[in-house]
Amino acid sequence: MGFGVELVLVLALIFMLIYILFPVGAMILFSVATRWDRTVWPEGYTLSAYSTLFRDREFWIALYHSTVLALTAIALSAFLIVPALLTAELTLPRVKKFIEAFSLAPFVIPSVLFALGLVETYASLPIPLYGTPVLLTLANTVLAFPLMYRSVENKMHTIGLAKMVESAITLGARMPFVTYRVILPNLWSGIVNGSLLILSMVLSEFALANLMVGGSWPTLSVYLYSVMRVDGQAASVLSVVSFTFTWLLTSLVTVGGVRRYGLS
Amino acid sequence: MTIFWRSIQGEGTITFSHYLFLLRPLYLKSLVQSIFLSLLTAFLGMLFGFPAALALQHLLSHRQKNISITLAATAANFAGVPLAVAFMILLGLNGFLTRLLFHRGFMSSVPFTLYSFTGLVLLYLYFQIPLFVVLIMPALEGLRKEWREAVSTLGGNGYLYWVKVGFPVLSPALLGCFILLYANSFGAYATAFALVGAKFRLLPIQISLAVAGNVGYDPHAASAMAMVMIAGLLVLFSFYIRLRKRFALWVSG
Repeated sequence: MGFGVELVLVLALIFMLIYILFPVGAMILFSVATRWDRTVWPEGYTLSAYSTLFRDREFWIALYHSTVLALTAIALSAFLIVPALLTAELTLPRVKKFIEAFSLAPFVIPSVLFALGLVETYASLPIPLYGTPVLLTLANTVLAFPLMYRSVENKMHTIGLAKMVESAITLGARMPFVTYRVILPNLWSGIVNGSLLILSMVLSEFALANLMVGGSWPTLSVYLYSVMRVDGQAASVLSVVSFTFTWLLTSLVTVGGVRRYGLS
Repeated sequence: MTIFWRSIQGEGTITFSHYLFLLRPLYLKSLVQSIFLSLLTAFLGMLFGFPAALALQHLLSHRQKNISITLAATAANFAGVPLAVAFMILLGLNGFLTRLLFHRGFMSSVPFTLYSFTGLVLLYLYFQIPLFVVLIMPALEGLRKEWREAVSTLGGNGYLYWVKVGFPVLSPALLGCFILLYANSFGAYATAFALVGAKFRLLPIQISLAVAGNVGYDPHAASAMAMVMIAGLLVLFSFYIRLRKRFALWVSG
């Protein structure tokens, strides 16, 4: 490669990094500024916005809601995906293609449309599910499926779990024993990976939460949206927290973005 | 399924008349705006993302590369309400950069406002560029060193390598990433909603208004719009799956 070409490449990279970091930097600065609307740089620095936020009861309620959502989605998707995938892998190879096609569905259907379908379906049913957190939990679980599926499936393939289970059974092990001694220990890192991806997805999910339950049962992002219109600084504090959290989770699953779209 | 049913449901009969709603100027304009915004941001994301990805792959050490990719993956997932907040602080009516330009007297008047189409493009690029980088990396890693060596052994230069080998092999992957980027911004709702609210005409926002809004509640129109979106995305994704297979053929074969 010539020098000129290299220069262009490096400039593009630097541009991207600046583009990523600049808004984040401004956000952090704003969250610790005392006053920053008359001067170029903040007039002073304080952490009071952080302590205000952490004393706000509504913040903890929203955090609690989001955590409940995330944990339920993780638990449900793990309990449903792992046995299903294992059965498909061991006995029904043809069903696997089916599961795989379904796991792509949440990428094809934007969450706004998903929310619309759910609202339309459940609003007309006699069961009192419409507009409740229960329905939101189930909806989030559906969005969580592909993330768990990808992580577990990747892991299952790289270590060749199907063969392990087969040999364990051939050697006379019973199913409970196989589950605790072979399946769970080997798949654990895949399940953890999927759980981290789900956690980061659910915590930032806005469309479903806003359209299905809205302000009556606020999650973190709905709370952030309501704060944003009243108090810019509190919103920036929350955004800093959110970015840090996303960053931590992504570092734990370095290739998170790749897995998310199943391009591996 | 319910969406489909609702979209053709009439007064006791089946009708396609709800699809005629789409021809109303409001919805038609939303559709056009959505498509234009998605195409533009997907294209710009690729334009800036591709050289950045090349630089990552060829000019950085392993460690630097890992750090940058983690950062890019974070940015690609950092969409929605917090992103809108960050950009408002930076470029909003009284944002940092806006003020900086004022105070130093670089500009006498604000050249643009964030709460506009341009603003949305800037916001979408924040996750589109990194997303493209993250998605194209596996494909770039799949390009074999031997191919490049073969070209130079036969007397070709780097330019020839890209024209005859690099781009033809990468083209399905590039197109696939383009489709994902397009779909990503086509369905994005939270970011635009947080920034400009209901006043901006984008398809996902119009749909959400028609299904949950106080004004203009119209589930039939919402369903019809939704069907159009789903149909478009299905076509794109079937195309995408085919592309993925073709690229897999190259890298493994």
